[in-house]
Amino acid sequence: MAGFDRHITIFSPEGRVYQVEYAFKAINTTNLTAVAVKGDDVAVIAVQKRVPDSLIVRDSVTSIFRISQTVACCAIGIVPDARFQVKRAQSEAANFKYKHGYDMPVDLLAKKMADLNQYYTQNAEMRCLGVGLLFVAFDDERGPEVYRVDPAGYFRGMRGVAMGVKQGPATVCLEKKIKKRAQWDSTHPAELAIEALQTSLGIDVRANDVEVVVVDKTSVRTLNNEEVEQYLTLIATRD
Amino acid sequence: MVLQNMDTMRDEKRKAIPALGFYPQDEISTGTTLIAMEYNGGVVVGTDSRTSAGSFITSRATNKITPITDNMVVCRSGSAADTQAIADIAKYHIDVYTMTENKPVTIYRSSQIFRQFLYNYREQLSASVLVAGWDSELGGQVYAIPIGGFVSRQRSTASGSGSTFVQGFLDSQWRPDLTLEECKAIVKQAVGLATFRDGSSGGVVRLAVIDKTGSKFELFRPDKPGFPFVQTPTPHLSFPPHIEQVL
Repeated sequence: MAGFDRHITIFSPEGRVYQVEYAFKAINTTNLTAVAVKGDDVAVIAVQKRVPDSLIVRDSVTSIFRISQTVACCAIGIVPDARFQVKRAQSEAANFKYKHGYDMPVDLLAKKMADLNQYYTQNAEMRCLGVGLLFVAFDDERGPEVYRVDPAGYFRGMRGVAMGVKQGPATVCLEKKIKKRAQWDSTHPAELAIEALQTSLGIDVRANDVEVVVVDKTSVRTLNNEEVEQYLTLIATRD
Repeated sequence: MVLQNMDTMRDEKRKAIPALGFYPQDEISTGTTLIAMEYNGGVVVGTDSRTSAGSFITSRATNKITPITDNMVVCRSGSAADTQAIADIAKYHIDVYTMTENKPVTIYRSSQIFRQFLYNYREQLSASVLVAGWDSELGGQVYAIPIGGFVSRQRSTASGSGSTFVQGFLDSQWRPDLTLEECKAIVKQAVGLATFRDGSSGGVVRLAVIDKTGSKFELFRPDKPGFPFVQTPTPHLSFPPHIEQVL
């Protein structure tokens, strides 16, 4: 059908699906960047926190969500789409635990969310969701894990990943630092994630402009302002 | 399918048919004694550990105290299969609400979730539970949900076949403002007394204390100190004294 390839999820003559590409662009609508890093015994996501309107209650704005006892995620892009995906992920994880008796491993959860995204790319009745997802968990067989899921339905386990408006510069910073490091202790991933975020943004971030979630063997924790401040000081004094 | 009590089945139906692989078995039930008490700061629950199929004890060290969250447990009595299934599905719902709302589910609401299943499926189920836990809104709470699905909050309650033998004991022991140690002693002794008289209760005594810091579980074995023994009186002679007999 002529001309509809930009409007619905069908192929263009060059073999592209424009709707999916537009969904990727939609991730940048909120102008946020997120960085996730995994180490030897922790995995971390650091994401910008921006409260666009001074009338909004600060504590109600967040991009970090708890999916289950063991999995946390960061969802950036169109906010209602992000909440929709998070709710679905929570439901899938709870359902898995009820049916099979153990916590849903993060790779299976990422695969499920990716498969759902792919479904939307093939169906005309539902559009793609303009959300990029980063999942972190401490898997009891494989240790800390980071997974990236995008609107096309592509998912991969990553050692370090950046997503959002400044993902290019952040990825460059991650590639340099991750290649050099042979051994990680438990504070390095958080330090690296915050540093990559800071470098990509090009400005000095303040503690309440960043949300950080840390997953280790026993807990899933969002860092409070003082802890983030410690990392920022560490990064500043090191340079 | 309604499970019939083996005693009321006709004799032909009770015979085994090895060719078909059919061997009649009484429904597995947790005969049970469950005791739960609120104290200032939390709850104490105590149970026995016997699961029986008729007169056969299928499990002598069952755990009838099932944790649902870090601050709540459910004590199960009635059909073992029914109560396990209900505990699993209620836990699933409570987990989903906890995740999607990002805060703990109150004990009152959890008891209502249990009630929803126990009432709506009352014809198919044979289950009686005690929901006990601590939350920041109302502190320690015990909700009794007997067969049929009636929910009532209780300060001190007993459930299961062994409960009938200790209702009077619990009534006489309860006072307002009991301390944790007093509650534990009363609950433990009540389980011991009920087990002493009820054939469907026995095994070990399991205790759980739930307060704002979480749940702590204890086990009292009959062969170790701390078990609530009932002093058996020395019996009189059964036969007239001219017959040789030993006490």
